[in-house]
Parts: sequence; C-alpha cells; structure tokens
Amino acid sequence: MIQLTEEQKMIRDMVRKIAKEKIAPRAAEIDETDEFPMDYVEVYKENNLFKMVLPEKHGGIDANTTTLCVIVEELAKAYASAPQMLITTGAALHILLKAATEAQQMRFFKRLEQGTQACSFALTEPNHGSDAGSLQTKAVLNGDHYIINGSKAFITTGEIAEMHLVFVRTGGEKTKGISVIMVDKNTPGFRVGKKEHKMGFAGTGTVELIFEDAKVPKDSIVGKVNEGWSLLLNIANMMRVWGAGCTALGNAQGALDYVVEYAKQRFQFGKPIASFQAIQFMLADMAILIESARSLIYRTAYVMDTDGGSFKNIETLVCMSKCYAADVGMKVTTDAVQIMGGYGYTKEYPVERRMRDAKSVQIYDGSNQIQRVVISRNLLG
Amino acid sequence: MAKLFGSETYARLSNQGMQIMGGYGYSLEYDMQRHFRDSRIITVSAGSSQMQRTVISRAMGLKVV
Amino acid sequence: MIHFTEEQKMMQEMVRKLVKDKVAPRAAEIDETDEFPWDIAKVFGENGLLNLVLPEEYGGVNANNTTLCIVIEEIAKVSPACGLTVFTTQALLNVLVRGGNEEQKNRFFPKFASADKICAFVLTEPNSGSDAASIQTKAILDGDSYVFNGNKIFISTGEVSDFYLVFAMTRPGEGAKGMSAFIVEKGIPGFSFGKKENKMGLRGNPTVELIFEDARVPKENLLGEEGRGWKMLTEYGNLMRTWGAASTSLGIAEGALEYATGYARERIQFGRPIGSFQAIQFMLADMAILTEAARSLIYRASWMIDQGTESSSKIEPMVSMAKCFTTDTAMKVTTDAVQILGGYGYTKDYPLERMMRDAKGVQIFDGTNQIQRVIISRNLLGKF
Repeated sequence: MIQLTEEQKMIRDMVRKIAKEKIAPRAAEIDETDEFPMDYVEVYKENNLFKMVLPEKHGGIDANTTTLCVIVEELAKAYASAPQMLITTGAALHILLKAATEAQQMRFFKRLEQGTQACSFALTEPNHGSDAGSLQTKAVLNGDHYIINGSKAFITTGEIAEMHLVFVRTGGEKTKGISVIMVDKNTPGFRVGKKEHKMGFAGTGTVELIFEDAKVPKDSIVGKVNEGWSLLLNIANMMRVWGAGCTALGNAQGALDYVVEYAKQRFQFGKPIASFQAIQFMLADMAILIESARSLIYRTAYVMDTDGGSFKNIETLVCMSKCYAADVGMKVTTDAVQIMGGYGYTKEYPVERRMRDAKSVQIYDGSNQIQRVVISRNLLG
Repeated sequence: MAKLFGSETYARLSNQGMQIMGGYGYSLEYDMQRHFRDSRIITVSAGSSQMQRTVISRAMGLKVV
Repeated sequence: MIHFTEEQKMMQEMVRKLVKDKVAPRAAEIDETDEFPWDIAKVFGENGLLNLVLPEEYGGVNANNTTLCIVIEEIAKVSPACGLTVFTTQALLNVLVRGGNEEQKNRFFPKFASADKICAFVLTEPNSGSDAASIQTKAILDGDSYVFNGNKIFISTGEVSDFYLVFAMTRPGEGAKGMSAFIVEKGIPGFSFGKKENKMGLRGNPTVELIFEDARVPKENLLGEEGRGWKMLTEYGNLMRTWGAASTSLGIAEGALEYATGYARERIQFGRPIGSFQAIQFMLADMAILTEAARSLIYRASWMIDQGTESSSKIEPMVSMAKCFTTDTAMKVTTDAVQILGGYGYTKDYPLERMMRDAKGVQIFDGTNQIQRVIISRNLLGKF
C-alpha cells in the first residue's frame, strides 16, 4: 500500500536532505524567538516547494496526495512548524486550480512570483471556529469591487503571505452565502493584526487578519458567488490528511527517533535505560501507534490518488487520519518527554518542543472533536 | 462518579486480568472469566456509564439544549 | 476519610483567598519571565506559609501531612511554580523537625522566626536521577567539618534558597548505606551555583545546578548519624510526594477543569454553548471523575500517614499511587482542557496551555511515574 514511485523516492530524499541541513538546525531558535523563518521561505522557493501542487506548465510537479504526504512528513520529522506555510499555500493553490478561471490563475500565480510565493488560508474567525458555516466577515459588491469588513483569527502563514484566500459572506445565512475571494496583502483597508502568542507551533506566522472597508477587485472571487462552502468541503478539507495528519506523524516519528537513541545512551542503575522492560514497552507502544497512524494516512492517500472510494468514504478516512494521527502525536511526544525525565523537560532537548507542537495539531485544521462529529455522522447516516 | 469509576475500573481490570492469565483466563475453570462477564453488566445496570456521565455534567451546570 | 478539622478548613479558606488576590494576577507573568517571584514569597512568609511545619513559637502550625496537602493544592490551582516554593521549604523543615536533634532544632528554628527563609531539597545528580542510591557527591569528615565535592542538578528553588537539605555520600561506594543528610547554608566557600535550566513549564521556580568544590560544612549540620540519609529519604522524604507532586497536580487539574467548564458554558458554536454538546459534556465528566478519584487517593494516603498506625509497607505504595495517578490525571485533564478551548486554549492569552506544560513537569519530578510504578509493583509482587 505504501509503495512510492521512483519520483516520489527522489523527492523524499531531496526533502530529507533539506530537512536535515536547513530545517532541523534552526528549529530550537525559531521556537524560542517565534520569528517567521524567512530562510525556510528561501529554501522552499529554491526547491520549488510552494508550487508543488501546480501542474508543470505553471512550474509545479503536479504532486498527488501521496507525494504531499511524503514531503510534509519529512519536514515535520525535523520540525513540525516547517511545513505549515507549504500546507496553507498548497491548500489555497488547490482551490485556485479547481475553481479559478485560466485568466485568474495566470494573474494570481504571477502575483505570487513577485514575493514570498506563500498564501494563507483564511477561514476561522474569533467567534467561528468549528462552526465555520456561520462566519461573518462580509463582502459587499460595490461597482467593480467587493468591500470587505470583518476579521479572521488564527491564520497560519498570515504574517508573510503574499495573498490570502479568504472565505467571506456574500449572501444569506449559513453555508449558502459563502464565497472565496483572493486578497492581495497590499489591498487598501486590509491589514495583518495581532500575532498570536502560542504554546508552540512557533514561527508559523499565526495572525489576525483585519478588513476595514478593504477594496478587492470583483474578479478576485474564485468559483461561483455563494458557492464557496462546497470548495471547502470538497477540496480543502481533504488536505487534512497530508497537512495536519502528516505534520503529526512526522513530529511523532522525530520524537521517537530521538528518544530511542537517548534510551540507549542514558545509564541508570548501571545499565542503559533501554534495557529496562518498562522503557522498552513504552517505546514499543509508541512505535505501534506511529505505524498504525502511518498506515491509515497512506492508505487514505492511496485511495484519494486512485479515486478508489466514494466522497463519503474518503471524507471519513481523511477525518480519521487527521484525528488519529494528532492523538498519536500527542501521546508519543508526551511519553518521549517522560522517558527522558528531567532532561526531556528542558529546552535543551527537542522533545518538549515536539510535545507543545503536537498539541496544536489536535486543535487546528478542524479540531479532533469536529473530526469525530463528521466521522460519526458518516457512520450513522 | 463512584459508580462509574468503580464499575469501569472493574471492567478494565478484569479484562487485563484475563490478558495476564492468557488461555487460562478464558477457561471456565478459573474465576477471571466470571469477573469479566460480571463486570460488563455492572457498567450497564443501575444507570449505565453514559447515564452517569450525563448526570455528572448536569451537576457541573451543563445542560443539554 | 477526607475530614478536615476546623483549623484546616480555615487554612484552606485563607490560602484560597490569598492566592486569588496575590498570586493569580501574577501567574502568567511569572511563567513568561521565568523570574523567581520574590513578592509572592514575601506574601507567603507573612501569612505563615513558609513555616507551616514548625512549632507555634517559631511561627508555624505544626502542620501535618493533610494540612500541607491542602495548602499546596490551593496554591497550585493558580500557580504550581509558586507552590513549589512552599513545597521545597517545607520539605527541608519537615526532615529537620523529624530527623534533627535538639541542638539542631534550637540552632536552626530561630533562624526561621523572620518567616522569610526559603529552602531546597537536594538529591538528584547528572547520573543519578531515578537511581538515587547511586549518588556520587562526597561528604568526607575532616576535623570539625565535612568536605563536600560533587554536582547536583535539577534542584528546584535552587539559588534563591537560604538553606539546602543535601544528600551526600559519607562513605562513597557503599550505596544506600553510605548516604547521609546535611543542612547546608547558602554562602559557604566552595558552594556555588551552575547552570539554570530553561524549562518547558514550572517556570518562575528556578531549577539550578549546585556545585560543591571542597565546601566545608560544620559537623553539627549532619542530620541524625552518618549513614542515616537513605532512611530519612525513604521515611520522611518519600511521604512528601503526597503534598508535593500529588497535591500540586491535583491543584493543576482542578484549576484546568474549573476554567474549561466555565468556558464551555459561555462559548457559543452552532448557536448554542459548546457545553450543551454531549461530546464536550462527556469530556468534562471524565475529567471531573479523574480529578475526584485523584483527590480521594491523595487524602486517603495522607490520612494514613497522619494516623501513624499503618505500616510503611502499606503506606509506601499508596503514596506512589497518589503521585503517579494524580500527575497522569493532571496531564490528561489539562490536555483535554486545552482541547475544549480549541485555538484559544493554545494561546498564551488563556492559562490552560501553561497548566498543560506545568502538568508535564510533575509527571517527571519527585520520582518519575516510571519509578513510582516500580515501587508499586515491587510492593504488589513482593520477593519472588
């Protein structure tokens, strides 16, 4: 089932090398300062990773879900925050590919080239998290422009994004009146607000976006007016498998790799702690959880890449992948800190950071509670 | 809380107890299989675990709308 | 079983009010800056919380195990890091009260009359964490003093303390039989502080390295006799896990549960409070169950200790269970509480992510939960 093509193996090796040489050495510092890693941006641009989901004619590699999983997993093994800007950008580009006109695509892709190449994916609002369908940021047509008012919260990559893919209310109640609009960072009336001061997931540029009579050209609407909700359901939500799911998976794997080496070298009672069954069993349980999460994720990716299931079937698998991998990530990283004892609790070792980062994945990209709502709804009908 | 925690602990321990005893735990010759069976009904009878949780959350000031 | 005396109830009320007024407004800042809160230590001192176990003439209340549990739990609801100051100080005084001789009590107790002295409990070394009997710091008698050499690490309330209860080997190489306990005063030549740990949580309580280089400690500061250190550690030291790690994490769990419950009542999603959804209700119910089970375990163990009638083989596993279960509970409860608050729970604008980071620390310190399970299973299985 997890059978990578030669090309995917090459991509994996390339990303693994980047992760080792460019990503991992900076992780602790980024965690400490919470500054957006512009050096990562440069590395991703050099290696064409922002554009990975685009077809070749737009400079991408037409990455399918499995390829995206491989990339995110490898980066998250080094540092969970590292792939987040690629995930939000990939999410936005996916929607543009599926729903934007040829002319819009040319315009937006060209615009992105002029800056960081990064996009944010702006859905959440201060009072509308899991209940995204009732979002309130309003876009009103006025001549050739939409006038947007409102605010978005917890927007990953928002700090440095060149463009923001924003879900706005253009029509009536709930999910029936939502549209998708592309907002340039230089739009008059638009600004980046407060940066969230978080427990972990540092350097992901999580900010508030503020729209005060922001004036956006009319032809920035992506897809049909008032039909944005279906883009969210049919395209964006499916990315949880390679986004949040693989972030959690890579992060957990990184923690396990680290703590296995530690357990072999740390001596107590005259023996390496790895020789104690209590520790061996903990490590074994952690490995079991990780492999089961990996199996679920890559199975889901395979089904998606081969069109091997109904929408409902795939949606359920995606939600399970996200929810399960995130819970596994939390448990594995928590136990990794525990195995390392006092040392694991200090900032000198990377596992406490991984534990703080793991918590984020249980919350973002649809909390694990919401995933369970979807799963049980699909189960129950 | 006491009913819920006690009964679920009994169920969990009798399950683990069977696991520790392996095949013998499953045999009618030993009492462990009886504990396993008995404990299951205790989490259901006299107010199921789900009902206990509902009562507890109500006592915490949460209401089902 | 959980029956508090009138005095204990008053103490609980007093501490609850004190931490609400003085500690709560400072808790986030203390975590953020990781600076020791001298202002809070002063307030604790003024209200008798630094001298709890001392006799009344020295400003104490002869606090028993349960009283200490009550005090630490109340402080930890708001700031476990601040609770640690009281914890490590009482840890030293407790051993001094029980294991010190008359001369030592007469000499040391008056120094605490000013109610501003802070203490630390010094055991862990770089290569001796859970395996405490293998400590290598030496204390060799030379004339009128013991000469200390060695390093101690992860010492809570280190550097800021005035007195240190130090476990060292008076007969190196003899394991537990060669271990002795000493009171070491800050400022003696040869005793210095090394690296301060930058920790994930429990920030504001300095965790530092202690360095002894030919430090001379007066002979009279040896507690009990040479070779009694291990016995003091297991007889008095281990019991303090009930009011130390266990009560700290009970407080953390309660604080998190209270906050998450309040939030669930207020936060509207899908047009109604999220507390009206069964998925959230059941999470909160499970968190409440674990917290109450932990409380029951702690105060039962504490009651056994205060009765003084049970054998140590009965009490020891109870103490380990209380420590292990309560800290695991706090980890689970705080993790779920952050989850209930969602994105807000993950930000530093709300206290829950701090509580979650703090909870992790308590699973590790004061004997890791793995070591507690070793103790529990050893008592269960006996020799075989």
